[in-house]
Amino acid sequence: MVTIGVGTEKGAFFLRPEGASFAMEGPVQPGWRVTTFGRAPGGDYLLAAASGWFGAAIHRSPDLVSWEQVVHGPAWPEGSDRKLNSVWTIAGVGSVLYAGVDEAGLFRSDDDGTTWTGVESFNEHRTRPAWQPGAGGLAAHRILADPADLARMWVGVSAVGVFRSDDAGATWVPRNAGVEPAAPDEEIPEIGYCVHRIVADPGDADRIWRQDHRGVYRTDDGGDHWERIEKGLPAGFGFPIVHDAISGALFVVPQESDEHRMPVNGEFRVFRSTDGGDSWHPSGSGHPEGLMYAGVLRDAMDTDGAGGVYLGTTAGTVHFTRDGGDTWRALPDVLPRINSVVVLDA
Amino acid sequence: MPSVTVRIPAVLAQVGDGRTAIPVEAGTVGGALEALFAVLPQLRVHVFDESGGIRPHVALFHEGRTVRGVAGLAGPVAHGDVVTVLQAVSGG
Repeated sequence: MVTIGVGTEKGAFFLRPEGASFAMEGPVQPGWRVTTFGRAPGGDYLLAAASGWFGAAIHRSPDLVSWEQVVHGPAWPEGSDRKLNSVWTIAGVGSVLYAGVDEAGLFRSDDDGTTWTGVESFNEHRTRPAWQPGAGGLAAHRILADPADLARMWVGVSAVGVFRSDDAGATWVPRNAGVEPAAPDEEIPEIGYCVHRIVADPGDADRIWRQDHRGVYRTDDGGDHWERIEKGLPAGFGFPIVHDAISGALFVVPQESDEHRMPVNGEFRVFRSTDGGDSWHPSGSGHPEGLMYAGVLRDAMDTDGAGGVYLGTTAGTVHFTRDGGDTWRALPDVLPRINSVVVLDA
Repeated sequence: MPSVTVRIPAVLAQVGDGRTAIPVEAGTVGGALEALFAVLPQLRVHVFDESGGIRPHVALFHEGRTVRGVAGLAGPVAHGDVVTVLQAVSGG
């Protein structure tokens, strides 16, 4: 059964199918800003929560009911001038769990998420002194791996760019050629790119799509070269980009410029590409009929691999399709601002 | 050592064991917090930050008086005292 985690400014909610819609449970960790979810190799559910007062931590549960905080979670060492403000993403790569955090860094756990250590090769990268934050902070927010060769990984950092490792994280190289920089660094031109989200073709890890601050891009060579793919989009700006495995379709939610950050003309539309990003069209029917000036944050959209696409908005509404984007519906409930929508069981 | 009570807000209690008042034995304010962390180690990261000091938006009181800095943490506590951790009223 599909289980979807919805992380909001005021706690986590969980959705499971019920009839033609979903039943909702929660809030879990009420009062905490829930930033993302994940699964441990052993099967436990993971949830990341943060607070402007009390910092950030990862919590785990075997059943989504009973939760306990990970005591030795991702943390900068005492005395560090870096702050762990939030955990932006949790990704399993084989038996290793990775977490991407703000203030930008990468942590790994080799014991099912019980203890975590910093990935020094990434966190102390030679370009690190020049890393600059985007409007959402300085965050490592997306981690991809090649399922055919787990030594190959990609990490997206705002507003720095995409880094690739071909040696299981021993070394990292910026891979952003062809992308328009958002915050150009004259001394280190390899960085200064504000990637918002990346998603890989499940059958070809070298094919990656990228929703960037500067537009929508695609690479077919693992990030060595990127090309702009925006035909049919009303705007290039946006945050999430996801891929439906069964249909091969891509989905984005365009917003009018980085200055406005709202749907173009108040028309909230999910755009779909069925040709790998060569062209885009409004996806099916069922979008809000009235004006809607809410956005979708980068972690607030996910797919279940079987035609289900789920998204949450900054207005707290949840929208979904279960037929690959032909028909969209909205839940009747309105939640706090939604940071994250993650499919936990497909 | 004196028996004191550490009070924590509900938002921390829910990541602890549900209690908002935890009895501990300690000789100083800082010692009371360390005794709290011995029972509920997950709370340390929520009270102290990477600097090793109290988080900037966490307010700490001993018997209703604000506790500040290393000197405040070294302050002695007496039997029956209450050490309170609160989220500061920061912002608007």
